[in-house]
Amino acid sequence: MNWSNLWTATYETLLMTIISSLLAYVIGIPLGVLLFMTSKNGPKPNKWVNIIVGGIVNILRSVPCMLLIIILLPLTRSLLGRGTGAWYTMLIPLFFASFPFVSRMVEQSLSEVKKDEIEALESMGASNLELVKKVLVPESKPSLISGFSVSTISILAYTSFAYDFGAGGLISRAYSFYSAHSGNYLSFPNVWIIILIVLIIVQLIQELGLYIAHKVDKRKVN
Amino acid sequence: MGYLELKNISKRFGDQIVLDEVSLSVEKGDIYGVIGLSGAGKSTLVRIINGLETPTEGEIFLNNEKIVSPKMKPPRRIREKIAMIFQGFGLLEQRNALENVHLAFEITGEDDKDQAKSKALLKKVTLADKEKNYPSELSGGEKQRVAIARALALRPEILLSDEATSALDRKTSDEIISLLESLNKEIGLTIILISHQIEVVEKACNKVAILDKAKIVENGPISDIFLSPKSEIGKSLIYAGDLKTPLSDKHLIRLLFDGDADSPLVSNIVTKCGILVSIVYANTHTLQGKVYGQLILKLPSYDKDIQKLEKYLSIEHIRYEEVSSNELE
Amino acid sequence: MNKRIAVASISLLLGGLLGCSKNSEKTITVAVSELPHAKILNECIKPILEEDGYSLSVTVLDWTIQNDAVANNEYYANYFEHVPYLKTYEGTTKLYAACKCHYEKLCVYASDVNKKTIENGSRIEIVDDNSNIERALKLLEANSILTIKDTAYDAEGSFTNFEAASPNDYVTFSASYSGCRLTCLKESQLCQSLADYDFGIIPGNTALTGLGDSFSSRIVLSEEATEATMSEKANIITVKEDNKGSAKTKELVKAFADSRVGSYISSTFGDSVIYHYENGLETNWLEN
Repeated sequence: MNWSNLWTATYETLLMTIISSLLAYVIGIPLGVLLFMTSKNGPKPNKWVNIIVGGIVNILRSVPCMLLIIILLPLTRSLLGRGTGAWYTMLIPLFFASFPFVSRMVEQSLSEVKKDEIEALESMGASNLELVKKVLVPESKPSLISGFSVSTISILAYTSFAYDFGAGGLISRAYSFYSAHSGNYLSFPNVWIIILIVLIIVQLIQELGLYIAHKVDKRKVN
Repeated sequence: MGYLELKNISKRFGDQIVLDEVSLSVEKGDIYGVIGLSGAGKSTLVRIINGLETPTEGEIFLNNEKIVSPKMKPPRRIREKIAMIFQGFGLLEQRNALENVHLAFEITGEDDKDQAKSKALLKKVTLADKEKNYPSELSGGEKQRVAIARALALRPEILLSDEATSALDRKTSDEIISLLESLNKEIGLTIILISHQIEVVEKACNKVAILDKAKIVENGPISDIFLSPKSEIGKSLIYAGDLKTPLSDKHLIRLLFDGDADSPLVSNIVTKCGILVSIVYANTHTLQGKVYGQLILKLPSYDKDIQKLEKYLSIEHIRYEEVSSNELE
Repeated sequence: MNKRIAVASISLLLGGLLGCSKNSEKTITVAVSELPHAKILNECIKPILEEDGYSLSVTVLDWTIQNDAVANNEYYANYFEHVPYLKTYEGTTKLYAACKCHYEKLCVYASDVNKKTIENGSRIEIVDDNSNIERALKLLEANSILTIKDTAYDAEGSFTNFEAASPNDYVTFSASYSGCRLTCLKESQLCQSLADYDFGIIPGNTALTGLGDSFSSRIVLSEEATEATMSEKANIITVKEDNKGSAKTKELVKAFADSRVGSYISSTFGDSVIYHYENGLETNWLEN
C-alpha cells in the first residue's frame, strides 16, 4: 500500500468533486431560477423559454457520461491543453454532466417556496430580480444547501469515469488494483482502505450539508 | 363612478369561465365583503384588482383612472397603493418579524433608517416585543398582524384580504377583524374582504357581494342581503347552521325579525294563539349592532294553524315566509 | 471563516496543479491498457529507462481513445494494440509502430472444468474490443465452430463493421453448433462473468490474473502460436510518425530489446504472455 499515492488520489478526488460541484452550481442556480420562473406554475410562465432551456438540460442529462467525456475531449483539449491524464481534465466533463441535474434540483428547491410569499411580494410591485434575490433564493437556502451535498455526492460517483481517462482519484485506484488482481482483490486491504476513505468523504459531505442546512434554517429556531 | 370601480370583469382559463361579467362599485372607506363557496372565483377577482392576474375582459378604474384591462396591469405606483394579506400569511420564514416588515420598504425604495418605521408599524399592531422572532415562533394571529404591519408600510389606500382569517381560530379571527375595523376607522383604509366564513363578513362589512359559479348573484348593503338573501347560494351560506331536528315535513314557516330578542316570541305564539310549534331551526346575527334573526317553525297541524299564525305575525309586524325543507338541506 | 476557506481552497488547488509539472525533457509518457501493459512498463521497463536517465510516466487509458491521445500530444507513446488494429486508425496525424513487444495468448476457457467440450447451444463470452474479437472468432473458425460473415469487414478488408452489441449477426455457426451464442463483454469483466457462460475467450494475462490457479486446467482451445501469428498479433509501442527518429523513441525500443524483459515476462506471466521483440524503426509495418 503506497501511502503517498493514496494521499494523491484522495486529494485528486476531492478537487475533482468539489470544484466541479461549485462550477455546476454557478451555472445551475441561474438556470434553475430561469426554469422555475418560466414554469407553468411559476411566477412568470413562459412556455417557449421553458421548453428550450428545459430541452437543453434534458438532452445533456440523457447523454451517457462516458460518451459525454469523449465528445468533450476536443473542448477540454482546447481549454486546458490536454483532455486526459490529469485530474483537472475531468472538471469540464463533470461540469457538463452535472449542471443539468443541479439546475433541476435548484428548480425543485425553489418550487417549495410557499406561493403566498411570492404573491405577497408581487402584489407589492416587486420586480423579477427582487423576487429572486429577496424571496426565492433566501427562502430556499436550507433546501439548496442540502441539495448541494446530495449533488456533490453524485458527482463523486461520476469520478469513477476518471479511471478510463487516466485522471486519477480514489475510485480509479480501486479499479486499477482490481484489474491487476481480479481473481483475489478482496483478500488485500488496498480496496477496503480506499472504500473506507470514500465512505468517510461521503459521510462528511452528507452530515456537513445537513448540519449547515439545519443551522441556517429559521423555521426550526431552537 | 365609485372610488374603485370594477366593470364587467371576466376571466377564462381555457374553457373554464372563472369570472363572468363581474361588476362592483366600492366607495372609499367601505369594508366590502365578497363571499361564496370555494372555487367560486373570489380569489381570482382580488388578484385581478392588484395585477397578480389579468382579466380576459373588463376594466377596473381607481379614482376614474383606468388601472386594469386585458392588456394592462396596474402600474407600480398604483400597486403600491393596494396592499394584500393572505390566508397563508405570506411571511418570509428566513426573516424575523422586523425584517419582514422592512422588506416592504426595500421594495418601495423608501428609506427606513435603523428600521425605525418598521418598528413603529409593529408597535401599531401591538407586536413590538416580537421584533426578533421568526415566523416559526409566532402564532397564526401574530403572523397575520406582522403581515398587516407589512401591508401598512406601503401606506395603502386599499387593503385586499384573501381569506386572511380562514386559518385562524374564532377568537383570533375576531381580533384580526377588529384590527382591520380600527384601521378602517383610523386611516380610512378601504378594505375588500374575501371569505367563505359568514361570521367574519357579518362582523365587519358594510356591503357584501355573493359570488356563485363565476357570477355575482347578490350585491348590496349587508343588512339587506343578510336579512333576506334571495339567491339559493345566499340562503345556504347565510342560513347555514345546525338543524335541530331532521326535516321530513314539507310545511315549515320562516320568521324574520329584528328587534328585541327578549320578546318571548315563541311562547307568545303558543299561549296567545294556542298553536303548538316546534323550533326546527334558530339563528341570529348581530349586524352593525342590531340583532336580526330567523326562526324556522314546524307546525304539526299546519293547515289548521297556519292562517291563525299568519294573522298574529302580521299584527306583531313580524315578517314571515313559507319555506320548503329541501331549501335547507 | 470565509477567508480561511478561501486560503485553504487556493492552497489545495495549487498543490494539485503543481503536482502536474515535471521535467518533460527526460520523461516519457505512455498511455496503456491495464494488463499486462501497465505492469510490464512499471515493473520492468521503468528501471531500465532510469539507468539511462529517463523517467517513465504510465497512464491507464480507455483503449478507444489511446491513438487519438497520442495524435494530440497528450502522451508520447501508447502500448495496447497490434499492427492490424493500428492500421484501422483514421485520424489525420500519422502514427508509427516503433517496435513489437509481446504476444498475448488467446484461449478458450471452460466455465465448468468438467465440461470442456463446446457443444451445440453453448454460450460463449468474448472481449468487446475489435483488436481481439477477430482473433477470438478466428480461433473458433479454425476449429470449425463458425465462419465469419463478409459483412463484418469493410471495403478494405478491415474488421470494422462488426458490432459488439450484436455479435451473432456477424457469424454463421456451423450445423452442429447452430444453437451457440456469443456475447461481448469488457475485458476486465470476463473472468468474473465466466460463471454465467459455458465458455470464455479471454486474453492470456487477464485470464491468468482472474482465474488464478485453475487457469491452465480450464483451457479448451488455444490460438496456434506460430512465429507468423505471434509477429502479426504482437502488441506494439505506437508513437507519432514525426517522432519515430527521436531520442525517446530510440530509448523505448532499446529498453524493450533488453534481455531482462524476456525473463521478466516469462517469470511473471508464465505462458499466458510471450515475449516477442522486433525493431520497427527501419521498416514501416503499416505499409504492407
